[in-house]
Amino acid sequence: MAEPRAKSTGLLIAQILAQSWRESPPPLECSAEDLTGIAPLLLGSGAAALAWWRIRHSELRSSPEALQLQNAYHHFTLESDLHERDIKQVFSLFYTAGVEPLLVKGWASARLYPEPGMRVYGDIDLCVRPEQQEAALAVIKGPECKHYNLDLVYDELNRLGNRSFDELSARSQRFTLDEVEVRIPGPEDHLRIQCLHLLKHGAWRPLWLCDIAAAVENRPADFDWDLCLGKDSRKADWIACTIGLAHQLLGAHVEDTPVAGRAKRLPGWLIPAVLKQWEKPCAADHHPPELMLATLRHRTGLLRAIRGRWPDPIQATIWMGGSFNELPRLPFQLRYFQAQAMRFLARLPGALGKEHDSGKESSSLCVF
Amino acid sequence: MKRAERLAPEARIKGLVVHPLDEEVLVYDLERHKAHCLNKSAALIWNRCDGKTGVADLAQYLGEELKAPVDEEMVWLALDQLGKTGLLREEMPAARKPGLSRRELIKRIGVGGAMALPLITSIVAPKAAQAATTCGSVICQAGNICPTGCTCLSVGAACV
Repeated sequence: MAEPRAKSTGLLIAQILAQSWRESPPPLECSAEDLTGIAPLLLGSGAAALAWWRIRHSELRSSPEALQLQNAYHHFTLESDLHERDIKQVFSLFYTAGVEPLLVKGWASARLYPEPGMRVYGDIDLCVRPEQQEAALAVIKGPECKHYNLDLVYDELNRLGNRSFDELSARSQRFTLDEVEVRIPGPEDHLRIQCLHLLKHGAWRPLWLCDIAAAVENRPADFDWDLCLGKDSRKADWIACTIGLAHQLLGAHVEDTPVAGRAKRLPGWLIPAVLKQWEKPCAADHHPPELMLATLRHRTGLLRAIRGRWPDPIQATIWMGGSFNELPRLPFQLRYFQAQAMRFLARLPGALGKEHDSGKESSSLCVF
Repeated sequence: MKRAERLAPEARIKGLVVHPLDEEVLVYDLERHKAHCLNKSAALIWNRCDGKTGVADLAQYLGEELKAPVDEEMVWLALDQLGKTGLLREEMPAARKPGLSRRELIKRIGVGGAMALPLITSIVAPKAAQAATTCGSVICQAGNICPTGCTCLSVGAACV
C-alpha cells in the first residue's frame, strides 16, 4: 500500500493558522514532526506568534520549535508597544507639517487581534491627500523620520481600491494613543483595502489572510457590505473570493455575510494558487533578484530571470483586471509578463546609455 | 548581618518598556536595545525592588505570593540576573556563597521547586519577520525604476 501523501507546506500552514486570530482557537492537531518542518516558515513569514497562540495549550507547547514561536510572540508584544510609540511620534510630525495621514494595515489590522503581540509589525503605511504628498515626503525625508519605516500608499489605494482620500477620510475611525489622534479607514474601507492588497501581492503571505479573517469576524454590527464591496462588480467579486479564501483555508466564519455563497464556491484554480504561494511565505522569496545585464547575455540566466519573474495567477489576474472565473489563468499570466517585459525594454536604452557613460557595466539594471 | 544582606535593591524604571503578560513580564531596554522575559518569580521580585525592601523581606514576600517556602538564595539568584541584565539601578554586590549556581539551587530545592526559580531569558528577533512591503526598501533609480506595484516619486528617494 502506498504511503499516504504528505500534507503540503501550504496546507500545514493553513491548518496551524486556522482560527488563530480568535481569543480561544480550537485545539490544534499537528504532529511534532510537522511543527518542526513548518516552524522556520512561520518564523520567517511573521505568523509565528499566531502559531504560538494556537499551540500554547497543546502538548507541543514545550517543544524547542514552540519555544521559538513563543519567543516571537514575546518579541512582537514588545514590538507592538514600540510600534505604538512610533505611530504617535510620526503622526505628531505629520500634524506639525500640516498633513493629516490615515494609517492603513499594520496597527489598523493588529488591533482586531485579542493580544497585541499576535501580529508582526513592519512599515507604517500611511495614506495622505494627493495634494499633501509632497509635504508628506518632506516629513518622511526629514531627520526626525529617519528611524521609521514609512510607506505612502495612496497610489495603491486609489488605483486598486477606487476610493479617493476624501472618501476614506470622511469615513475614517479615530483613536487616541495617549494624546495623539490616529486615524484609520472605516471598517468597510479597510477590509476592502486588505483584500485588494492581498490579491495585488498574489496572497503569498498567510498573515494577510488571517488579518482579513479577523476583520470579517470582528466587524461592527452595522457593517455596510455594499460599501465594502463597492459598485464595480468585478472588484466586488475579487473581495468576496478573498473572504472565501479566509473561510475555506482558515475557517473564518462567513455564514452571516452576503458573500457566504461565493465564499463556498471559489474558482478551482484559486485555492491551489494560494497554497502554492504559501510554500514560500517569506518576504525574501518574493523579491526577484536584481536583473543584471550579464544575466541577459546568457540563455540560462535569461530563463532563470524569466522564471523568477513569472507572475502567479492571482497577481496576473488582478493586474490585468480579469475575472475570477473557471477559465485558465495562462492568458493573464502571459499578458502580465508581456506588459512587464515591455516596461523593462522601454527603460533599457536609458539604462544602457547610463552604463556606457559611466564606462562600466552597472551591477543592477532594474527590477521588473 | 552582612552588608549585602542589609541592602535594598531598587528596580530601574527609566528607559524601559514594560509589558506584563499573565505569567511573565516582558521588558525592552531602550538604552541597550535588549529585550528580556522575566518569569513569574523574577517579575515578582523585580516589581518589589523599591529601594526599601531587603533581601529577607523579598524572600518572605515571594514565598507568600508563590504560596511556597522561598530561600533567600532564590532572591539572590534573581537579583544577580536582574543586575546583569541592567534592570536594577545598581548591580547588587555578590553576596551569595561562591559556587551556588542555579544548578545547585535546583539540586537543593528539587525539580518540582525549580519551576519557581527566577529566570530571565533574552528575547531575540525572529528571523526575516519584517514587513512584506518592499517599496520603501528600494531606492528609486535613474529612469524612475521601482519594483512592480511601487511608484517612483523622485530619483534617489525610496519607492512608494
